[in-house]
Amino acid sequence: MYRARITSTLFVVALVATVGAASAATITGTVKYDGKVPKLKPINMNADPVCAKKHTSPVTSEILVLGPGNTIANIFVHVKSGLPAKTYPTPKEPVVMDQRGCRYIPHVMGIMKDQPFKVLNSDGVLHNVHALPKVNKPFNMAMPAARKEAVREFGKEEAIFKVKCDVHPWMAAYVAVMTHPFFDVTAKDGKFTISNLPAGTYEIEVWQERLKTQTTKVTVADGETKTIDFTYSRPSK
Amino acid sequence: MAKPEPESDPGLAARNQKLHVLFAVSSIGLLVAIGCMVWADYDREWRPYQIEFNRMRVAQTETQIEEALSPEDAETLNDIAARLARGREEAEAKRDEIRELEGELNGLQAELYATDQNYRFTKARLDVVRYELDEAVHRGRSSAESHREELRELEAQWEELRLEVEDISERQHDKEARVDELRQTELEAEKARTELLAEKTRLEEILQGIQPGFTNVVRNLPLLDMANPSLKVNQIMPAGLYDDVIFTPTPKVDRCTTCHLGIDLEGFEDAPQPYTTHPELDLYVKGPHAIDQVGCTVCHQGRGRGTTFVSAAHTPSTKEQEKAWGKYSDTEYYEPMHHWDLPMLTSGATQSQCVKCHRGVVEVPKAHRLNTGIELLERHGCYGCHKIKGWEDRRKVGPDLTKVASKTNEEFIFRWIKEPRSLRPTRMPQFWDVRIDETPELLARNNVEANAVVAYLMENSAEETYPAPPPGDMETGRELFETVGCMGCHRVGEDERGVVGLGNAAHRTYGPNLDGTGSKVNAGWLYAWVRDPKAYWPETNMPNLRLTKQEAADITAYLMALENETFMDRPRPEQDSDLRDQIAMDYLRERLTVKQAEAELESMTERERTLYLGERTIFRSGCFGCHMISGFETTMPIGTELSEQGSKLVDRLDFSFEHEELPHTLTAWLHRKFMEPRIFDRDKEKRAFDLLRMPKFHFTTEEADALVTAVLSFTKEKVPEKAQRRLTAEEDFVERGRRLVRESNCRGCHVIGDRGGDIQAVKASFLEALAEEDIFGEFDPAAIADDAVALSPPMLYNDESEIGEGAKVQSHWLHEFLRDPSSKVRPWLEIRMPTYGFTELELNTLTHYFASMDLVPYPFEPRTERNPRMVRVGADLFGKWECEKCHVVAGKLPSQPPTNMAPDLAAAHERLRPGWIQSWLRDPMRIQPGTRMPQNFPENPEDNAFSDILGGDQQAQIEAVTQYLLTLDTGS
Repeated sequence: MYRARITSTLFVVALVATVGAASAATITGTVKYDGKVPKLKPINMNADPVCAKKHTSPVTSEILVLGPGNTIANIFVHVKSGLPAKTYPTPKEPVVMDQRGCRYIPHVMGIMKDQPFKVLNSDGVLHNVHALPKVNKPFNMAMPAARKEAVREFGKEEAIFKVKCDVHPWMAAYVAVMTHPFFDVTAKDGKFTISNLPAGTYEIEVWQERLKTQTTKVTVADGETKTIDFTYSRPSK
Repeated sequence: MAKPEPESDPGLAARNQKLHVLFAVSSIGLLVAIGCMVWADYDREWRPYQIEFNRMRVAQTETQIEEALSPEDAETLNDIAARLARGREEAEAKRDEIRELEGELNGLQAELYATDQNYRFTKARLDVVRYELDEAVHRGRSSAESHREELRELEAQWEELRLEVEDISERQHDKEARVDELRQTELEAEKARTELLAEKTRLEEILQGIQPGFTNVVRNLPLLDMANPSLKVNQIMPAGLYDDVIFTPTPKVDRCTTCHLGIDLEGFEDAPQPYTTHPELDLYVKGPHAIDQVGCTVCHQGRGRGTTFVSAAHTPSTKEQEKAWGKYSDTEYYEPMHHWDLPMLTSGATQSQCVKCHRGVVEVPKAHRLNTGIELLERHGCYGCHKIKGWEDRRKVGPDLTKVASKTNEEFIFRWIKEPRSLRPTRMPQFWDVRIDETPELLARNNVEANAVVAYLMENSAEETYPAPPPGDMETGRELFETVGCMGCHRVGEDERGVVGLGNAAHRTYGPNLDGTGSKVNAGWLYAWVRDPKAYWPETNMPNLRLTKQEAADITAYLMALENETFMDRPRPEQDSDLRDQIAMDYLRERLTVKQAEAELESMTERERTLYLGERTIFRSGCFGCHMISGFETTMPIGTELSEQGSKLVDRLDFSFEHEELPHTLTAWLHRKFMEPRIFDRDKEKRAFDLLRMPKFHFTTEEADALVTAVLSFTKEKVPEKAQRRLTAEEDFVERGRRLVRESNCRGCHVIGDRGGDIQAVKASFLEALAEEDIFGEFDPAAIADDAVALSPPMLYNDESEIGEGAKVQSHWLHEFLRDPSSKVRPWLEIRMPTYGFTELELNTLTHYFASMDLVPYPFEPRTERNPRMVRVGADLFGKWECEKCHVVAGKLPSQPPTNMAPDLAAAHERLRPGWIQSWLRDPMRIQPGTRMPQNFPENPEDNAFSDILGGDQQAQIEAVTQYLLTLDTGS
């Protein structure tokens, strides 16, 4: 009870701080792909006819999802370093990952440490959610047709790792466990925004599941909005 | 005779005067002498250490006291203080009532005392009357009746008094409770404060005891310190342990803690010596090796009774340290204590002493350096030349050379024996050209000897001919080599994948490095060898991978392509017959007269002379210590016996001119010997015969460290049997199995405990390469480690859950599987469990080993109950969980990629132990970390996906599924 009160007080304080810091900085940008666009094979769901039946058209691969103008979706962007050493409150609302059409939605997500990780099974098919973290304790829970949701947490900060389904080998999601709220995942327009940052110099890292990471340093002043764009080019092979 | 009267002797006064002076001077002298003696006794080397440590400890405790309360605690303390004040106020307000109650309580206490006394006295009287009654009845006295009456009366009285006492106590409690109620806030606050301050109070008490106050100063004054000083020599006398002092067993006394004061205290880990905390306190000083039971010198050696740096027989590790320690012996270089046989072991070598108590074990837990050393010693076959107790009956480590001519040719042998490492990394040592002061004469002599050895080996070899292998495909062969399991024991060239720790002790270096195989052997032999190694050499450790003819041909094609041309281009000089004769003559003159020798040589043909020299050279070099060589079947090994080398006295070692470079310790000498076996000949004029013979193994310095530790463990010191670690029957079975596990190199492929499964790294590297080749392809770099586990052989023992193969499979099944593993449990794996050709005894040892590791019944598995209703429920759950989605059932493969497939469940009834199935279903990851088997049956019924089945009860559902699984059959 007492602790709950402290937490809620902190929340209010944080809220006030956020509102009060109208002058806080924002970093925004777009991530693009440059080079020959690979032809990705559509996902073959024949292994499970129930999954295949859920789709009328071929299911596109999620390995590299591009929008118009070759902007990249599913890029995880976060502040890697430069933040003041302090504890950020953990949101109580969960990060939700759904299993729909035998795919994970969303495909890439960030979550704060100790934040609830809610897994839904909208499919009504047997899935198992096998997380492969190295720092946190790995888990592998089955979600049969009858089980609609389950909740887990990650108690330690960890770089992005894979979550997969061993019944449906094509299913993959990627989760990063953060200690701060300054992260974002791009949609098809390749855009990301990290706001409410205090003034300072930050290392911003972007991650793509096959194209690995890129980092850039950026300095923002109070109230400033800076745009930094990233470009991934196809590695020469 | 009467004394002369003083008056009658006028000179007496003057003479007395002199005497007085004499007495005065001598008594002053005596006083000074006594003072010096006291001071000498007082001024000990250890005293300043104790004073300094005490200062450190006081400082540490003070800091701890400061830090005992966190800022939050301080806040809580304020809070408590406020509560206490409030409580006191509250109590003050009710002072009158409290006073009144306390007064009443006092009255009650008096009342209780009086009544209780009365109660007890009545009991005494009761006993008296009962006795009198018994007496009267026995004697038939008439007074019996009156006694009986009296007894009744007293009993009634006694009962009444009891009720009265109980009543008073009750009233007392009520009133006390009332007082507590009135003072509640105050009392609670006081309790909270005591609890919060408990740690601080404890520390403050410690501080009081060690602070150098007035009492302590007085206690430690010279002379006064004979009573009860706080600074004193500390000693430990571990019961049952003795030192051999000039052939007399004397109880061990270790005074090391006189200066090593922080040894058992946490918090001095970073303090300088001698105050440092012992590493791994929970294992050593405070754990199973408790300091009061084992002392110090049983592990560290040295002179436990010594209380000075020198007399404790400290040993420097390096020459620099020897110099730095000069101050302790007042010399430029540290002068160790002479005439003490067991100087302290240098840092790192201590593990050598573990085996004094840990006898009969393959490995001593956590003694990594010692274990590695023993492993290296076994792999390099040191016991081939040096007799070592416990290693007498082992097979020779090198290949059998009695048929060497069928395998290779003399061009190869010459180059190989001259410099094995120019072909590839190998454990075969180098015999020639390894002196750092090799002369041109010796170099020429080396070639003559090597040529003679080649001639002898070829001459004395049987020659089997092998037909050329069927045509094979090199590329397919390479793929097979990389996937079927060869790489669990073999490498090609500098391949560091999965090689952990010291290269030569790693699992992937167990078999020879196969680089240059094409330059070494002929294809026909190799083809026959990979198909059935034991046919050529029955004692080989190489198992049979059950290669088909085509597979063997492909692998042969691949390995034969691994040629080393630079190696074969090395020169091979013609035999210099003059030099050969000269050396042969030297040998002949050793056992014959000069004339006889000359005649003997004269009578020999050219070929005979060469063969004679070859035979002599092999005899002198000890080649037969590691290889079977015809003509040397029963020859005694050439090296010094090492069974007690660890107790060798330093003055028995020839440091030669190396003493300028090396500290005078056994450790340093051995290390040098391992690194440069012939260095002690340096700058010495010796006949070629008399030169040192140990070949050079090219050990790294870390390998030498480990080997030194192993050799130091061969000591003649005896620890009484009582003090030794005794193996239980189960542990004994485990040890026998461990030996076989090591010799079969199971860990090359399987994780067993904290090590092994090294071949996973190879798999991972291939997956990585595939992922890199097609970056948008099917291989996800984020899942490589996980896939490598899935595509490699299973873990056989999990250290953390302490569950392994023994608990998993039925002993009978395991026995059959180890005998013939050709029916695969995981048909989708490319890697194969090889056929080892174990003997029946070995099979039993291994199955017993696995069962004993897991403490499960051996060899029989109890029959399990089967209940038709449960089986039906199990079948239902089996269907609902769609087990067949990933598991093979009766040979039917699921539609999954190989990484997702799981073993055939129809084999469960004959393969798995039912108890294990249950543990597995409960929490698969606990048994096999990284498994793809999900946790389907959660502990909490609310989390259960089918909470309507058996009420969602974890155990009941698991039981049902287990029973159903056991009904599955390969036929159904």
